[in-house]
Amino acid sequence: MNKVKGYLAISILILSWCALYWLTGSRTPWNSFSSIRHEEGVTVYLGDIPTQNYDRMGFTKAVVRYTSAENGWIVGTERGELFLFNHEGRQLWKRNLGIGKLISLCITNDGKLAVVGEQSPEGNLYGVNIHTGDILWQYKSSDYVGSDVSQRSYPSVVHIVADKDSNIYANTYRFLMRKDGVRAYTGRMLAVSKEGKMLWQFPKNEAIDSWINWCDVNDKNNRVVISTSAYDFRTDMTYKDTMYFIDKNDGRFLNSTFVPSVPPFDNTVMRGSPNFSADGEVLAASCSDGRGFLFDKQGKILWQRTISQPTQIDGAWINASGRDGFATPYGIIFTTINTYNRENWQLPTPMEHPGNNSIFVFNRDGTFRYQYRADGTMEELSFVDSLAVCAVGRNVRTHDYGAHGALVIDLRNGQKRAFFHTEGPLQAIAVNRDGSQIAGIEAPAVTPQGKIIGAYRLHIWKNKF
Amino acid sequence: MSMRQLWEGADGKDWLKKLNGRTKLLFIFFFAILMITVDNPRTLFYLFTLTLLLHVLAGTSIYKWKVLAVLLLLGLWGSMFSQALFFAQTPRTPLFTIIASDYGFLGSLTGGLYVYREGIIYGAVQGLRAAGMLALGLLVCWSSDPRQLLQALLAWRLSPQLAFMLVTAIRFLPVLAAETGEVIIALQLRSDSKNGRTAIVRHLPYIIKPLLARCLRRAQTLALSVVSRGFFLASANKQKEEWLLREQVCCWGLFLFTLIIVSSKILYLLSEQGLYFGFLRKIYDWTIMFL
Repeated sequence: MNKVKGYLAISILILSWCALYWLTGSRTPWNSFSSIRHEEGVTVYLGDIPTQNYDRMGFTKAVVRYTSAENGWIVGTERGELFLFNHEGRQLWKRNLGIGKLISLCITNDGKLAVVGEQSPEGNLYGVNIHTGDILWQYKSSDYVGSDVSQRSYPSVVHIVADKDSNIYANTYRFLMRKDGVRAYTGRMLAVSKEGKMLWQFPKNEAIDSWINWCDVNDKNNRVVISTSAYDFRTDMTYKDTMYFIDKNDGRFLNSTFVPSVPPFDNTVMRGSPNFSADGEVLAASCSDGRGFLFDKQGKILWQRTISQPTQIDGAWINASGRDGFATPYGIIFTTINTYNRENWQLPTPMEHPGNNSIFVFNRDGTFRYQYRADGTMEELSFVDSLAVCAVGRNVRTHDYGAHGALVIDLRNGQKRAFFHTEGPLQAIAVNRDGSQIAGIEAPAVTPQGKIIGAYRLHIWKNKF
Repeated sequence: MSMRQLWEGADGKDWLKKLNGRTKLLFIFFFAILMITVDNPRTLFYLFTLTLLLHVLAGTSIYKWKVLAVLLLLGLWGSMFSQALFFAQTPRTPLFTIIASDYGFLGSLTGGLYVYREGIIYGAVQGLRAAGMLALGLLVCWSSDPRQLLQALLAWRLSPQLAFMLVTAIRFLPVLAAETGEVIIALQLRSDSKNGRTAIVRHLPYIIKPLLARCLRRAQTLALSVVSRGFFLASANKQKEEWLLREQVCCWGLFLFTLIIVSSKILYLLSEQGLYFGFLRKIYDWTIMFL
């Protein structure tokens, strides 16, 4: 009997050896739990991060861009890590850039330089060699907009764009809620050459006393535009206008545009726009109050449309904020996000605004073509040819978790071409040059029932359309 | 095979028994460093397989294979099962549910009990580390005369007292096993209980005192014999076993290999902490892939 038991043990050991051979089969890095291949593509885990509540206002961030020079994906995370992955999800390099959250990313025209912005006590702006991962240069935005760690007022590089010569234009800002309840804003634009030489700052000798969330540059008209996005408006503010136009070569102020606010808002706020058309002739912008604008390159309003009318219900203003604006060859595009109660943004709203979570497409002459409504917020859009690729994130009103994922829309007719579902909300997205690969970053979230859905991971999908 | 024979170093093929104690100790030392350094499951699996191959080459007897199999299986599957059930990191993917979170009192108490895919892999990695070292340790233990190890330690100018105590500790294991067996037999005979596992378990609480007494007696005899033979005299330590050049070359080779592996890993870990150098990208890449 003992003999049988002994041989049985040896047999089980041999079977275990075979099982271990199978279990340890993946050659991808163990410490990132390996990438998981599936029919639609590949998924790569990006590490543990604090899981946020599903309904909260600010949410987990991440950035991803395609780099043609390396034919891969640059990914920046809230953990302060920057990665280069290939299409198979293999990590080509990884850099830990410190304690900051990486919140903005731009790849230069030649695809060789990644410019990364972070939110941290220093608010660094990094120029990183995409091939090697080396930091070529860096600037501390705290040197330009200050920092107050005791008040948790950290500088951030919120948005970065590059022109065809690979010069970089970055918005840096810092926000502070004073004890008397007044919001203090400090913003500045930095222009840096690809070699890391500071070209100019705007304003030169002071800071903008408003929130500056967005900027764009155009090589045809040599202009840089900065939009302001402070929700409150004070008469003592120096920078009251909605958009400021600057000469991209020397940082000279050219002109500004003031867009009057509409009730119940105190100010016209542009959070994710304006953006120039490729020919530099027009500028598309969407405002938080639900208006979409097309401007000429000087900032003169060509037309405006209401895409989401704020509505008063039981004394409370309900609206779906406008956010992005794009002038593409396939139409002028505006987007809206979730429905909010203006009286208290944190309180749940019992209904959805009919214009929320949508993209609205107009012809260049302002005629309406179509609205495509998603089931969750379109967190980010990326374009390739006639396709718009959207990262669909949370819907804090319906809690429709099936809405999360990457949505591919044909801009010619507004038809859905593909949808790649993710368990958690998709927070960032990018597409390669021919549209055959899409990369998106999913974030984990705690549902109101206390369940964790999703994880912090990168998805690379094969887009067959 | 008696309990004492099982743990004594008298088994194995000649080539292994003839190896210098220093070679064996260095090999086990570098191998331990490799097992700690490597995180990649497949590489760990290959290292573990290497230890099993060494057992095959060493001609480990079938009886010892059975013991080895039981010990390895307990370590490997124990680690995998426990991690599969209690894996706390994310992401974790439930493969199947043992207790659903909404399954009455048990469900609410445990919050659900699941078998997590990532936990199995994590447990396998930890289990492979332990199993690899256990297999190699047993190989050295089963194929080495304690005198070999003693001479190796003395050759490295370790204090004779310390070296003697270390080797005695190793030597003591089979002795302790044999003594325990004898005490249990004595207890069984006195109580007139039958043979079998239940009888052994019943006597376990009573073996400490007689075992301790026998150990003390044996230690006293050992101390007297060591002193009377003049073991710690300087002249007694002059006899050194020859360490063949080819064994030394092998040890240097293994040292260099271990150094390369550890350096690659350290460079990669430093790169994660901000000390990143672009020209080392190939090394980082290699480290991620295989280590």
